[in-house]
Amino acid sequence: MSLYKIEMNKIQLSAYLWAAAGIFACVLGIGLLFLFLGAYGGEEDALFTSWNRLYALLTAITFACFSIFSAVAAARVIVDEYCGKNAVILLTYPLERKKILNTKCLIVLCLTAVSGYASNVAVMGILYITAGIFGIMPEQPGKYFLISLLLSSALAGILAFEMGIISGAAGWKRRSTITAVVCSVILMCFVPNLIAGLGKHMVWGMLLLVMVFGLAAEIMYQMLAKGIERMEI
Amino acid sequence: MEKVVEVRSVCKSYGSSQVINNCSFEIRSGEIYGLLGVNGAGKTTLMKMILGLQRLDGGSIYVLGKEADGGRKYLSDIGSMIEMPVFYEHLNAEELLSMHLALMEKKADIPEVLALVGLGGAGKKPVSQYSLGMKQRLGIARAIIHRPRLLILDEPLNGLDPIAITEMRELMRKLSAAGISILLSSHIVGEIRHTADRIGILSGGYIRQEFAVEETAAQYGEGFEDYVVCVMAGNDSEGAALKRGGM
Repeated sequence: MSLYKIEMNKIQLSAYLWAAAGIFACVLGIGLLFLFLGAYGGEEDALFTSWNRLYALLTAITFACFSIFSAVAAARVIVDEYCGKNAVILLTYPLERKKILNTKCLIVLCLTAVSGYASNVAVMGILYITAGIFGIMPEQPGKYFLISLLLSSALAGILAFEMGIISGAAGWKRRSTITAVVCSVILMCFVPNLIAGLGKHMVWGMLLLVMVFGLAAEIMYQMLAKGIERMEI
Repeated sequence: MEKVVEVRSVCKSYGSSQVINNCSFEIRSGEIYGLLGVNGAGKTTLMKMILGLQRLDGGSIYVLGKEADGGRKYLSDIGSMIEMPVFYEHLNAEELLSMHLALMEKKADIPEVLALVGLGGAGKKPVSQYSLGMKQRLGIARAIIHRPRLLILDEPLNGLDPIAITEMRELMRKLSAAGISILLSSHIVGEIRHTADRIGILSGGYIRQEFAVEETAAQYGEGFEDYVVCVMAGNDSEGAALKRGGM
């Protein structure tokens, strides 16, 4: 049994899948609302008549939701494990502490990035089909829209994971899962605004954000890894 | 006889409070060593230091010939149950033990070990449905399933009923006869007396007295427990008086 599989067994995967499904349903509902507002609303709803603008807005919402999802996952998988009673047994295995931590981070990455990516792509796909059925979107998506959608959805998933690691490390520092969630809410207050404003420059803008927050996440991860390596129970 | 654990002049402080102070003892192969001390004496701290969960401020600990502070490979030869055992409650005993074996990189017959600790029919039941005593038994199963050479048990009889306590004592005897060394801690004299071969009384941060149970119990007779309590409380002279009185 691989370390990844062992760590996966420890978590209740169904709870995360239900949460991801819930986020997907909510974002889809908001997306459909925006789509029909764009079609039947007044001039003030013109924001929703462009695929690029609609897409940027929904990606920002998806990102915000999955940032919190990621922080909760990091809090449960990392903070709870190392700060709770399980730490006594976890640290008596003949394995490098960093190796176990890396596996836990990989689980947070997989949970967040995969579900965030799948949710964003599925929402946009459903909106596109719906717009086609009802003929309500005046503008066709551009030539590179699909590539942009796939790339920036993946980047949104990675960015949400980075938020989770930053929040998780902050939570570990304070030995508190609540701190991890609060930290992600604070980050969520301004990052989605940046994403929503990216418009046509979505991929490059997201890439820049991934790099900037990737650096911050790396610093926080190193602090976390060092702390866990030196940790006494 | 081979030394399985050697604790040499170990010191440990938490802030200004020195919990372990120049503490030394050793555990030999196949023996049950009882670490006896009042609550807060530092028994759990010592056990955690042997497991590498706490750093030493001074001194050294050798486990199976390897220094406890360096590397983690020696941990695969140790089974432990520190404080109350905790589990992932959504899993059942078989899943938990197979996960444990994978992490220890060992193989074993899970149903056989579960039967050995009295959980024969409960392997498929989620741990969330276990009673306190069943969890304690599962904790012991987890500690022994990978066939360790050293078993560290911190108050393992807590939460067990009298029948289970007798069964656990027998199990520890069997394991010891099979060559497994056991470090057992408790603050209850009677609990250790009937299980351990040798007792070390931890008081004031060091092993105040160390003796073979059989010999000392024969010397003190019915006054044995009173003697041990006196030493635990740090009152050696009163303990010695009891000895004279008992003789």
